[in-house]
Amino acid sequence: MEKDVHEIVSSGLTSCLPRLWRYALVLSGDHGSAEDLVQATCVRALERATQFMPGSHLDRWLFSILSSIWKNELRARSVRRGAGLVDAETSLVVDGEQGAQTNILARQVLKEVQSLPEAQREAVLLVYVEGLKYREAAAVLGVPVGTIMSRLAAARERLAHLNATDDQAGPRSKDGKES
Amino acid sequence: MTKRPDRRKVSDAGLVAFVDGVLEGERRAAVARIIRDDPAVRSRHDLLKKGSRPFRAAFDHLLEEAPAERLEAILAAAKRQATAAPLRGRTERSLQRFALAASLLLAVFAAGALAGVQMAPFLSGEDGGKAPVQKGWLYIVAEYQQLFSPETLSLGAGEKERLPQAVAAAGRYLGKGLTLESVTVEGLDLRRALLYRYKERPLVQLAYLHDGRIPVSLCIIAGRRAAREPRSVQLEGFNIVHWDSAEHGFMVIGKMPRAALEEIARALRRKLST
Repeated sequence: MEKDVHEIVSSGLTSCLPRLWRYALVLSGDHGSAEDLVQATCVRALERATQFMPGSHLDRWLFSILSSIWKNELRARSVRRGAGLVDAETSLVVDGEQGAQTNILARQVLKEVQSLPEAQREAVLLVYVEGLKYREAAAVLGVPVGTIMSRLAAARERLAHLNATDDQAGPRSKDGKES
Repeated sequence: MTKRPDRRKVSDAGLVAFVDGVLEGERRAAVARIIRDDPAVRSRHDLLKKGSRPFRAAFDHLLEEAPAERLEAILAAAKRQATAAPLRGRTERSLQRFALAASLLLAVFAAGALAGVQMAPFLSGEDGGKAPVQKGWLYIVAEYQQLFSPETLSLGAGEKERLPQAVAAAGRYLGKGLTLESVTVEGLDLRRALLYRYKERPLVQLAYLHDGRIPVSLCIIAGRRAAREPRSVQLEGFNIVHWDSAEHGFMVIGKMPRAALEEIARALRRKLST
């Protein structure tokens, strides 16, 4: 049984890698740190595979590990984001020129989300991008459901104000949970 | 008598739930009525709704750009690490190394990402050339070097083409003109350009593979110091050659014979001083 669980985690990690990398990139804001964070997450998950409950969502378990490592072991060690050194526009887009050519709107959205405080952009990623329910995102982050909703409200408010200063961009398409 | 809507029952969090479409039935209808009847609530609702974006579509673009081959290599390395170190002690040491390395980290993978950076080099001079600082950055780079392997230094699509721009960005970060040519010597294949800060000083790590299999790094830290000739030391199982100019500290680090590393360091120093 223990071996089975390890196999589930080991094989499941492969399909989760791109989404782990995306989450790590949203948190850390740069590619080198994102890869380091993914590696630490993989090591931790493999070592603690017996703690994974078969039948539950592996991706959410991995998200939780990744988030925990970032907050408790990496970010806390004076990884100082927000000091003006990491350019939001380029830090999230792997190939900026190509991105600009293929989808200017997507690039703009990435830039706007990356300008949000870490807690807000993390909530946006988990709920609006990954499609987790509020309670599921709350479980991943170990916070109350209301905190997730408040963070989403704060994120929406900031984005709305960005929108107000950028109305010349024209109407935006809606997706996800927009009613 | 008409019942007045109670705004306290429709917080911003509740409005987000409404906008997100997760409220159902009577609860949704009640919130809809309040939004309709209360201008202040309606204003908040409209504002929060205005914060909608095509999040998923935008971030799926990012997903398509994930460095698949490198991530596979990272997972392979993690599996080896996990199976080779069944004892918790080794894992904890590994994570401690990682955390220690991260303590200097304010990294930008410099694939041209620093075009907009405006950051003057740290030029305090208050501790320039003193041993503790010197030992500190040598040690912490040695810790971080442990994380590199041929797999984690593999090149993704298009990365090699971006290296000249990355090296130039690293030079601007340090306040020192760098080109791909000035940091390239025989036997070393540049793979990554990473930018950090250590004790408020810009620090750049140029990571190479030697003969396609041995990770070797050239690290440069900004900060005024006394010029010193190259010296060799051993830290964390690595051979290190380090020297200082009046403006920068340099080190070359790798798990390779001392004489071979010294030869590489001499070649790099010649290039960097011209």
